[in-house]
Amino acid sequence: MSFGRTYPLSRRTLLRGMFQGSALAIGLPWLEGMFPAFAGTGAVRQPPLRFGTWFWGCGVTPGRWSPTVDEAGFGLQPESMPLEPIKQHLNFLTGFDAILDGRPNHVHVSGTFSLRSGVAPLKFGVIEGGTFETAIADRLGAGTRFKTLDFTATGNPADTYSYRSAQVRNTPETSARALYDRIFAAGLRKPGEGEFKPDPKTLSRISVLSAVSDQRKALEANLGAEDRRRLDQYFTSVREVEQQLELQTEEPVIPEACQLPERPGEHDANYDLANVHENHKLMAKLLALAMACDQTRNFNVVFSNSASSLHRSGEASSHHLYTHEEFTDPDVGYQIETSKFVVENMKGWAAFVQALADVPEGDGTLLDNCLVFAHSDTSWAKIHAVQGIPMMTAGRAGGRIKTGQVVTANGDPITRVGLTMQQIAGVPIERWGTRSMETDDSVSQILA
Amino acid sequence: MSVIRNSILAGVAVAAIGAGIYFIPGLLSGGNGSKVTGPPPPPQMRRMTESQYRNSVADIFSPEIKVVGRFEPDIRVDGLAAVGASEASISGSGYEQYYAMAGRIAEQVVSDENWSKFMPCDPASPAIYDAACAEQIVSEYGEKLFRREMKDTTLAEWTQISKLAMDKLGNFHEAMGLVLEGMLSSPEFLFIMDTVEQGDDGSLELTGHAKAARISYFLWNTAPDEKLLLAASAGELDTRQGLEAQVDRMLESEHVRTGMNAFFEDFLHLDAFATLEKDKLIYPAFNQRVAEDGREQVLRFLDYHLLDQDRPYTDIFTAKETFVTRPLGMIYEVPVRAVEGWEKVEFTEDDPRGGLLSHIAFSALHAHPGRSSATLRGIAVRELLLCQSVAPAPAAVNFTVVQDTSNPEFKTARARLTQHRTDDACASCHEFIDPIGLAMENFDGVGRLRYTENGAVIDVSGAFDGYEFDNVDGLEQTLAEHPATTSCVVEKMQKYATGRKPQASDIQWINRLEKKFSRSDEKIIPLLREIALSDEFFAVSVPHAPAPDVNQQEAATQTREKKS
Repeated sequence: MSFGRTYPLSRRTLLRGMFQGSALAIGLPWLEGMFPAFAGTGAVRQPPLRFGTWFWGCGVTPGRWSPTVDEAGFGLQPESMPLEPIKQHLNFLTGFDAILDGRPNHVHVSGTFSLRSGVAPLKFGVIEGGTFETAIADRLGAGTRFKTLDFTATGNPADTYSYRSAQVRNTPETSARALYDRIFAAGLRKPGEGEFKPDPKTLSRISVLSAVSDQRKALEANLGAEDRRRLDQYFTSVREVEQQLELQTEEPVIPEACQLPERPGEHDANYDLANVHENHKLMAKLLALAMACDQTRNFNVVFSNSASSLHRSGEASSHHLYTHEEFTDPDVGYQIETSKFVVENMKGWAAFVQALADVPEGDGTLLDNCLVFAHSDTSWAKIHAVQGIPMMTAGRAGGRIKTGQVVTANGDPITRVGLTMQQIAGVPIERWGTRSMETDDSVSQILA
Repeated sequence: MSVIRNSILAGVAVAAIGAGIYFIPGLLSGGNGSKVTGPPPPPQMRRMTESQYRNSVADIFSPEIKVVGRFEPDIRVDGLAAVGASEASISGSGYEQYYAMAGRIAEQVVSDENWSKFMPCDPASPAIYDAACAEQIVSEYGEKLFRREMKDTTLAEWTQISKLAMDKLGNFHEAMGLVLEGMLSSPEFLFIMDTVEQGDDGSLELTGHAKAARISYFLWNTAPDEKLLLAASAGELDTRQGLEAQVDRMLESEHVRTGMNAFFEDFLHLDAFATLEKDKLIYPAFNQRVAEDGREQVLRFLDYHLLDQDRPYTDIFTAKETFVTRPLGMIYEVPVRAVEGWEKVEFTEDDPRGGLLSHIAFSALHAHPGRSSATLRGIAVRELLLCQSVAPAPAAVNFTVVQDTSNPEFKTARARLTQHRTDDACASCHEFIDPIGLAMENFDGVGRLRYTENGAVIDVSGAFDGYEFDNVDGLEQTLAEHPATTSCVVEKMQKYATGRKPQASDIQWINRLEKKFSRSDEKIIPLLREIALSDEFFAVSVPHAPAPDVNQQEAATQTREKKS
């Protein structure tokens, strides 16, 4: 088990060496080799790749969302119509199935985790293996202050689908103010006037954490295998904080596009649709700025939870309840209220993509250097179908992918998509998924 | 994940269900002397819950010390966050928060105004490094925060850390602040980790301090106090007499309320209040204050009946007295004289309210934001109060008929659910769940009393497990008599105390606890005492090579489709 350290030489090694000798005055050689991504003294030359997920619950209505394709391109359907202003940034991935191999369809769970972990869960609530975007975060986020920044627009910190293991999830922020405070209120350093000096307190903190980590062996001695894994996870988390501190001892290298926002006010955060839209908009903007300032390169966003609890003020039913209880209207042939909620989710997605496209970066925008992967927990929520779960990408991943593609798979394993995302992000992986969902076949249609 | 119904009929208790082990009084231990045993569990590592963290900081330092930050959400395993704590770790973003909290706490503790309040010594000037003083501080706070004796090596290590920090910072107070910060972000503080020693016969035993921690977090939900640590150091917890003295002292203290509240918060899933949402247009009487008071109300209610009045546990279902505030008065539609604070209210015998199920901590918590839910309430009674497990709904079910509240044919929830139950796939489960939930239909989605729905009188009669009843009072009477009610609270209390799933070696213990609970007239305090004085409560064995344990994998968070 490593500390997840990816650069060749850490300050901690140096500090520890120092402390074991006599206490020297601080004058550490801040080797550029420690932070390859920041090599060079000016702004980052090539904007880095960012990866993130965007989740919405309760899927789409069959026949009302998937784009139609003809020679001229693709046309949006009533439920995907809100995506019109951003459609040039998107790819649609349709017709991929979660293949359960006889395992139960745990409602609102099996689809998401077949897609994200490559394993259809056998037991309800037991996620077998981490989700793929954590592997990408380990790859892309090693040198930034936050390995990942996650938020949910629903106000409920339990709404997260990013799992390191069954019992370790990334806890999302639930309010714009908390997200702002975490990123911008403290710790974000813009290049100051005069000479940069590392804060001795920060240096001391690093050495204290280092000493805490040194106790690991003694603590492990009496633990069983499972508890050792839990302790390993703990120390991996300690390592992330150490890295944040280490970055604070370095002269900050803030990209030009970095602009500090105003501190947002307090807002109600719950499943009320109007609040969800508002919170999502505020937090999307903060996240975009955090990435422009290179504070993170990974994110997980939840717009609505699995089994979408979104509801409109004054109504006894939520999106989820409508999917199961609303009659299919005999005149139009679909569930009218349910369909309205799908449209609301798509409005959220469009707003998110636009927030990234609004931030200039290099010759283009932040979005150009992002790969955002959006998906839901089901296709047709009325029957909890996990065939053809709707998925999209946004952004060109720094030129690594094309956009404007509509990929129509014919019941292929949904893991093809997770495999492709990891490969685009540079995770060295050739095969992914389990049983019938094991695959080495990436979705080449979207690759540039 | 099976629904076991038929075996419960006529008051005969249930069999093994799902992950949990369901204990039938007398069946396993009685009879032929056949005993189910196994090695005791390995030493444990439990992540502190938010309330344990807050209580520990308040008691080790002072309630004046502010704890500001976001905690990792609890994980429920086997229905309890206490069990989830033994499986949880800390994520990167979670640790970032714990680390920041540690820094803010340490800063307050070593501030100029607080130093002399908390610290046993002080050098003549903060610019001087006083090694003896540093060691004293490390020793005192190390023992309290890590719940173990600071032996030579660790004492030296942490003292060395203070010296290094001093060299960098040149300020003794700041240096000791960093030491405390480090301790507060150490796994030995954030996790309650058992320390063990070799017994005389070579077996593994908990150290006195580890025993103290178990007792203290169980009975008081906080770190061991000085008296308990002294007893631990003196080896008193290794003798029955010494242990009894400490346990009895703690049970007589007011702090036992904090401990019991923590149990009932976990038992009744009161953490759900944090994200409880009701539609403002449909339920204008509901607001944040109502939610906060509703959470406290049920705890006051339980304290009053079980601790102040020393009544049997089952009386909480048939009680007629509870407590209200003005905001709750809006829900209960009773006049509340006190502008601030709490007032006791006693409902008449023919009023459906008063018992546990009539509290909004039950009725509003197990309902949708815009309406009641007989199904969610029925599941909650089965799972929370009777320790039974309900199978999740099948994936492809047409619920359309169920709850179209505007359908003129089906005005009440009962009418709609009855229609739904004509579908065989749904019928078996709903038979198991609905009669219980329908008896609570006199409480709307926010817990307000009502007798009609859409103009039709609500029929709240029903039957389950061989008992028949006319209304929610009858249901609560049934629960008070149901054998699973008492065995469930014992089982959950045992799991809560140990923070793990029961294993083979626990079966006799739980049977014994159930017998004693019954003999002590189902009083709560004697149950706590019995658990805290049990040898099994402290038993540990060497962790063996990891074998695939089915139950270990059963870490079901059991979040069913509650949110909506």
